[in-house]
Amino acid sequence: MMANELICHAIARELGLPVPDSFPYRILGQLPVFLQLNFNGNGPLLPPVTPQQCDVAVAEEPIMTARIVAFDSLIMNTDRHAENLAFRSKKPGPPMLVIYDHGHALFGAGGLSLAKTKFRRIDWLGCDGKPPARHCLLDHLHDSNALVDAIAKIENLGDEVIRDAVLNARAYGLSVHDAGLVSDALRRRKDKIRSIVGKNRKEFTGIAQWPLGVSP
Amino acid sequence: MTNSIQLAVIRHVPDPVRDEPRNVGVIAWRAGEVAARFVGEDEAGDLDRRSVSPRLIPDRQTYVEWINYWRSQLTAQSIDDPIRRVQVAVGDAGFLEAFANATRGGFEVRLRGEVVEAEDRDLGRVVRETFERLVESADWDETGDVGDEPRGKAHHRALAWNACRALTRHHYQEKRDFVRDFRVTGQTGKGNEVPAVFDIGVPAPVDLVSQGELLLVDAVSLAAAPNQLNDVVDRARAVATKAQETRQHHKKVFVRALVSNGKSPESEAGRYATRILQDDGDLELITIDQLLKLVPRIKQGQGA
Repeated sequence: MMANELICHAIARELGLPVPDSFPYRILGQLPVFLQLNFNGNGPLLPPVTPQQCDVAVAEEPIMTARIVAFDSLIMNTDRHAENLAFRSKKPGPPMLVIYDHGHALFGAGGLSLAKTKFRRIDWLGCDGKPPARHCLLDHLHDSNALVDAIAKIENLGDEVIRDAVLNARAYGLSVHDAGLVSDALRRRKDKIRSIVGKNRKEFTGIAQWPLGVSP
Repeated sequence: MTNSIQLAVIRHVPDPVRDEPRNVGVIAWRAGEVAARFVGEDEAGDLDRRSVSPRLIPDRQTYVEWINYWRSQLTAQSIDDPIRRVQVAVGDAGFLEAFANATRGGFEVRLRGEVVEAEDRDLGRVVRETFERLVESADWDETGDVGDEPRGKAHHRALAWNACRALTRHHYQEKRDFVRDFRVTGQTGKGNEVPAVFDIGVPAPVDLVSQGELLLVDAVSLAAAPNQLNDVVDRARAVATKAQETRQHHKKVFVRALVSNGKSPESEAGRYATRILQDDGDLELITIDQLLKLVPRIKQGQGA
C-alpha cells in the first residue's frame, strides 16, 4: 500500500533514520509507484542480516538501532525481518545501516480491514511476535539508555509532521476516512510510546536493567 | 526422486538492463544434505577475495557478504524462506526453492538439472564437477552464461521450475495463479478419455472479465548433446500428442511449448523437435519472458 511507504518514509526522515532516498512517481493511466534509489551505489542488494550481524549493528550503532526499534513500534511494522535491514560493519567498512520496506506497517499489506484491529491495539508493541515477523533487532538491544533516548525522540515528534505525512499520502490516493484513522492512531501511539514500551519490557530480552522512566 | 541430486547454479546479473548473467556458484541438494561452491573459494571452501575478478563481479564486497550469508545458512542446515515465511530445513524437499527465495538483489538461483539414481555419488564431487563445467569454464566476459540450456535428462523439469520461479518473482502465486503438474483430461482420436499432465497450468476464473480460459504449458528443452537427440525428439513427440488430445477435449484451452531461449531451435535436436511441436502438435514455442507476458492476458480473458 502506497500510503504506508509514504507516511513511514516522511516520519523516518524527520527522525533522522537511515532510509534510502525515495519518492512517489506517477505513471499515466496506472497507479503511482514508490521509487527507492539503490543505497549500495551500483552494487547489488545486501544479503539478509544474520543474528550475529544484528549484535554487531547494535554494538556499533546503539542510538540508531534503538531509534529504529522505537520507530517500528510507532508505525506497527510487523515486517522488520532480516531482509528489510541492510548492515555493513565498520570493520572492514565502509559502514552501512539502512532500513527499507514499510509496506506492512500502519495499514498493513492487507489495507484497512486489517488496520482496524491493529489501530485498536494501543498497548501492542507493534513489532514483536515470532520470527520472521519479529523485529530482527528486538532481541539484540541491550542499552536501555539508548532506548529511552529513542522514546524521547518519538515523543518529541511534532503532530504537524504526522499531519504533513498523511496529507502527502492523501495526495496519492489515501481516502479522508483512512487518513483520519491513521493520523489518530499515530498520534495516540506517539503520545503513549513510553507506556507501550514499558508494558512490553519483557519483549526486550537483551535489556537487563531499566531506568525509572519506563515503568511496566 | 528421493535419491536424486538436484543441482542449481547461482548467477549474478550486475546490470539488469544489459541482463548478462554470470554463473558464480553451484549448489547441490539431496534429501538431508547440501553442498555448494562459489567463485573465489578453493576446494577446501576457503575464500580468497583477491581471486574474484572485478570483471566477473564488480562489487566484490557485497558478493563476499552474500557468500558469508549463504554459508551461514548452509552451516545452520536451514534457511528462512521470506516468501513462505517459514524456516526450511535441509531435509525438506523445498530447501533449494527456499534458498532461491532468500537470494535476491542481483543474485539468483536457477535449477539446472537432476542427477538421478545418485545415492552412491558423493555430493561434494558432484558440486566439484558441475562447478568446473558451468562456472570455471564460463566465458563470462563474452556472453555471461555458459550452460544457459540445462543439460541432462531432467532438462524440461528444470526449465519448468525456472518458469515457475519467474512467475513467482512477478508476484504470481502458486496454486492461486498457476499450478505445477496441472492435470487435465484429453481425448484420443477414437474418442477415449485419457489423462494428461502439463508442467504448468494457468487457469482463469469464469467471471465478468475472463471466461474460464486455460493456458497449459509443457517445457521442452531443445538443447542436447548428440547422444541425447532421441530424448529431445521423444519429449517433443509426447508434448505434441498431449496437446492434440487436450484440445480435442477442451475448447477454451491454449497450449504452448516452453523453450529456454530463442536460439534453441538452432541445434540439430532443436530443429527436429521444433518441427514435431509445430507440425504434429500445432504448438507455438514461447520463452519464459513470453510466458510472463502471456499470463496476464489469460487472466484478463484476452486470449493468447
